[in-house]
Amino acid sequence: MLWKKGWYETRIRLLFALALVVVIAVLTTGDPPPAAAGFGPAIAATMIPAMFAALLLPGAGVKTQLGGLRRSKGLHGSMYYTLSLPVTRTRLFNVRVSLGLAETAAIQVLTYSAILLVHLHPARINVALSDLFKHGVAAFFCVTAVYSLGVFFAAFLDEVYQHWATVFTVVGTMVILSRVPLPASMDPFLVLSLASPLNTHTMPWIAMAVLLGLSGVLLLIALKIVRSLEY
Amino acid sequence: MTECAIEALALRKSFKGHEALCGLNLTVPRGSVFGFLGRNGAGKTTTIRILMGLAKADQGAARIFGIAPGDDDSGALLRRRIGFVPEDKELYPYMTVEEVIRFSRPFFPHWRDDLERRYLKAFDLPPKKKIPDLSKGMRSKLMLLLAIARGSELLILDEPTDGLDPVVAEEVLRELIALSASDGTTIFFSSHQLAEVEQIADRITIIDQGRSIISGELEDLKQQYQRIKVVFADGIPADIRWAQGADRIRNEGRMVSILSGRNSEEIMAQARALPGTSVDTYPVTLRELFLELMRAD
Repeated sequence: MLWKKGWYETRIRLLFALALVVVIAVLTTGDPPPAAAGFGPAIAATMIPAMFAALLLPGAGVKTQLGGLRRSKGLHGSMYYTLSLPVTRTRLFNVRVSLGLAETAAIQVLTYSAILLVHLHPARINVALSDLFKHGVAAFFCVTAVYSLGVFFAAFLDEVYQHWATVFTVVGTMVILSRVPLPASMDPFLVLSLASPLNTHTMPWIAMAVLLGLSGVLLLIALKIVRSLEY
Repeated sequence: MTECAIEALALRKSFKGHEALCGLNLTVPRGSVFGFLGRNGAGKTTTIRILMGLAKADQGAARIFGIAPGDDDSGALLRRRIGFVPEDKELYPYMTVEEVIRFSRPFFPHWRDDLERRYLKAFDLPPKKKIPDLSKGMRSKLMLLLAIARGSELLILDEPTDGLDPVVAEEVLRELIALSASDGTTIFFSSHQLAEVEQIADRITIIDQGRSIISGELEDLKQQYQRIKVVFADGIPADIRWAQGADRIRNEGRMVSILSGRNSEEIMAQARALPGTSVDTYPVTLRELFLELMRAD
């Protein structure tokens, strides 16, 4: 039932995010890149909708993702009812975060379907589906880190600030990485562009491990905060 | 099996330097109907939040059926045995009445379908109506239904009749008494409606500024406390010192009104011994007792 409740609370935002991804994917359709440039520039361009969705869904969705655990405008009073249910906060948190990640994955699937249909197919670039799958998995890890960041901020910031905190942290990380570059295999933003599996044909394991570790730490801290929250 | 449904020992809780609870003690026997009274800001809701595991006491301990409600795992198991109506009677705005019932039912192994049907009808709740379309009174009724139908051993109700018209409030109170009598359900409720508390509670605690100022069986308290009115023919002497037990003393013209919690006989004897006095005693209602205690503070 908690899954159903979570779905009720997030479905409009999810549909909005999905619609936005499609619109942005269509709007960013351009000329095919020169073959010599590889897939990097094309993927970099098409990452706009993916990254936008990554920021949008956790940023906008977290306030309802944690609706049963944090005060939020629309669900403020019902929080007490949720917390009176015989369910641990850990389970409430896990259900919410798992649902959010599933929705994030759905956005990824749509994003890469859009990339495949709108960008790569018209350009008649022959992309191996396995490479696109690898890229999608790497992107999901990246987006999971962004989502986890959103959850982390949602655990202790009011909804007005949590969205901006997520955006500024992601942008700040991009700026820092542009000045103090990491090895390409570790940089999550390069992994989604120039060092994409579409170009390298290999899974960026190191970057994925770093992102997974980062996500795990952020979610664990958020859970610890949520367990100690007072209402 | 512990005989107490709720035990709180020396609870302390502060918010930003303000002490909401200052060593509150509370004992609620199983099967009792317990009225929890106090002014706004006295610490009632803070106490209820600690009992529901929504907040943690800075010091002291709270136990429900011998279990600490603040622990995430045991608290969740404990809440299977508790029906709760919070002060904020809000529910999920995207659900209808029947959806919120259907959502809640699976969480409670002892869910009472009979009570669900009964209160759905008694409260005249429209199953297809969305929560935001319900009036405040309707939402209160739905919250009560959801708390009662859990088949709980303990109901914790924060202002349960808030928003109900007097007829429905009366009906709810009767149902609560019946529930306590038939199932032995312990009912712990806070209310500003003193007449309601007097009507159904068998025990009360009045708290003020985070501590219990009076507690016990309601009938015992009503017998224990008396109003003694002493009228002086020639005005109230300035240097009068009343015997111990004169808890609250008010001078009103030529009359002294004394609220006595003990030693009433001695106070009356002292009054009668004074020149030109007439002395009468009156029973005290809960409302009078509450107002007198609050006024003095």
